[in-house]
Amino acid sequence: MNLLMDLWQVQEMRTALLVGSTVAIATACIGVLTVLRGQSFAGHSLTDLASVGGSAAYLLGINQLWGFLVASVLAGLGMHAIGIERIRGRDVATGIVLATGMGFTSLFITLSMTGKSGGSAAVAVLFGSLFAINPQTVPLICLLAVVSIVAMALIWRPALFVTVSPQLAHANGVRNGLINAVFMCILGIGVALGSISVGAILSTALLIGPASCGLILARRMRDAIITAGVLGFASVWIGVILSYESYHWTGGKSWSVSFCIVALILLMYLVCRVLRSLGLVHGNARRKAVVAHV
Amino acid sequence: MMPQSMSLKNQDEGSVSTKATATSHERSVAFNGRSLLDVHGIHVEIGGTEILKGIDLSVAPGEFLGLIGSNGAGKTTLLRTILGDIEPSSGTVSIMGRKRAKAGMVGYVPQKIQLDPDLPIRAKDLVALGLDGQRFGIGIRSSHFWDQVEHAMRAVGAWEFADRPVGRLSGGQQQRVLIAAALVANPKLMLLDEPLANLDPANADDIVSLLNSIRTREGISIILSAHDINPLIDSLDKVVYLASGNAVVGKTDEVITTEVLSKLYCHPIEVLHAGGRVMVMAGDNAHAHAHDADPFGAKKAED
Repeated sequence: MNLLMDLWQVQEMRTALLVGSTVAIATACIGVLTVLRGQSFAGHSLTDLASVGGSAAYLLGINQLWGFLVASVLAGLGMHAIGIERIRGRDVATGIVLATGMGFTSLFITLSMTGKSGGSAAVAVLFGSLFAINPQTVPLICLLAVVSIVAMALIWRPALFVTVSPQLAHANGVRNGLINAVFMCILGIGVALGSISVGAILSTALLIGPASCGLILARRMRDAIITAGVLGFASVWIGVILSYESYHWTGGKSWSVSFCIVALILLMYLVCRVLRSLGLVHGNARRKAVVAHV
Repeated sequence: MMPQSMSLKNQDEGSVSTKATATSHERSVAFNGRSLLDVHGIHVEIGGTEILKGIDLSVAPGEFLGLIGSNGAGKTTLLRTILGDIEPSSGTVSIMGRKRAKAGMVGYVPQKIQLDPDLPIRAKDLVALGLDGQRFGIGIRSSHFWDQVEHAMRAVGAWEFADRPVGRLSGGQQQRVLIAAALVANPKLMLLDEPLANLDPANADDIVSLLNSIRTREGISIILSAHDINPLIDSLDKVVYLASGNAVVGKTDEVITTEVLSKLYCHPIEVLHAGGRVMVMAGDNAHAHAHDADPFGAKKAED
């Protein structure tokens, strides 16, 4: 308890914990439906393209969050327009587009390294750091988190219906195209929030990891979301504290906060898988979960 | 053997059924203000291929219609056109005088629904989505709401597995849940696409008698597509026999005859009756005129 009180005195810690918790809860809501829809792949592709926006924003000296947000929402809508199943089917074209995205990211990062002092550009964009978040960004992050949660709640029933069975939903008057497009926008916001917290490359872990655990452990959607939220929240808090404290154990070379969070998520996921294979939980075989990116 | 005339409340539609014979079915559609569904001369083209070549049919309240035909005959296309999913290139569909059904007016049970066994959704959650799944917002579901869900699930005998994950139910159980999900919004018309496929004969019979009792009790009209008429033969009021985009509409014993089906298929067909069942077969040598080879193969339309 004393430790927590001490940590709370540090401005960066407060920002990190506040942002991390908010983002963990928002991405839990988004992630559960993403995993169920089998769109972990889309989520990961979005992060590649989000990093282009993040690095461009870094180069231009704009807040990176705007870069992440604009790029990933646009990319999400683009994917929706082309058709996600088609994108997945044409893996060569998709691979090239995504690789090109990373190419641009590297260009923008190199340009900002030569132009300004920023040798940390690559680290900031790709791997992020909750400790390095500008406190002025916090209100915007919270606003985006609230917007994404409210939007999720708004489309919840039709989105769930489309996930369960697109034909049945359509027959019941759901406008599948509209719902899917809105969901891709929300996913874009989720990816941007994840990117600003743990970096573009690692944001899939935050989006998909706790959600997959929730789906393994829970029998109902509501419980899955709550579980995912709690696990995401816990991994952020423990990860932040671990990273901060590791300074003392490692002789001044602290572990990156993104590493700590993502490692904890992987650990949770593995524990869930073990619990399931032992038959201790009811056994959701979430084949689609992608935590390989960790 | 066959219920020629429907239950009492359909007496005034009786004339429609009688008129809808194989030869005069086109006329049966027009001027019938009382029918629930009127399909008039619809042609549907998909990707340059004409799937439906002028279909006419009408359905009265409480009527049970069987849409029979082999794979690729256009059964799903016809159902989806009625549903408003597919726009016909010509012809009209009207449901209670409307071009597009109001939400809840038509219940639809699609063909071959794949439900993920790991979906954290209970059977009753799926039925609940059938009632309010198209609405925005989270929505507070009242006890009255759940009463409706329970009522629909009891009506199809699905209440006992209401709390189980829907993806883990057997095929017959899932079919009941899907029917409940279509029934829960109190539709006037239910469209079921091949609901008997993949069911064993006992389950198929159960589903048919279930549907028969629903339409009698609730007065809901039912259109059900199937490739085999036999499980339905005692329940149907009317048959729509589809073959390569053309249809014959009428009572079962009027449609399933050697003459009518031969004309529809443009090929000699033989209808055999055996033990209350019918067999539709490509005609034998006695009927084959100039055709030396049988393009259907030995038992093409064995349905």
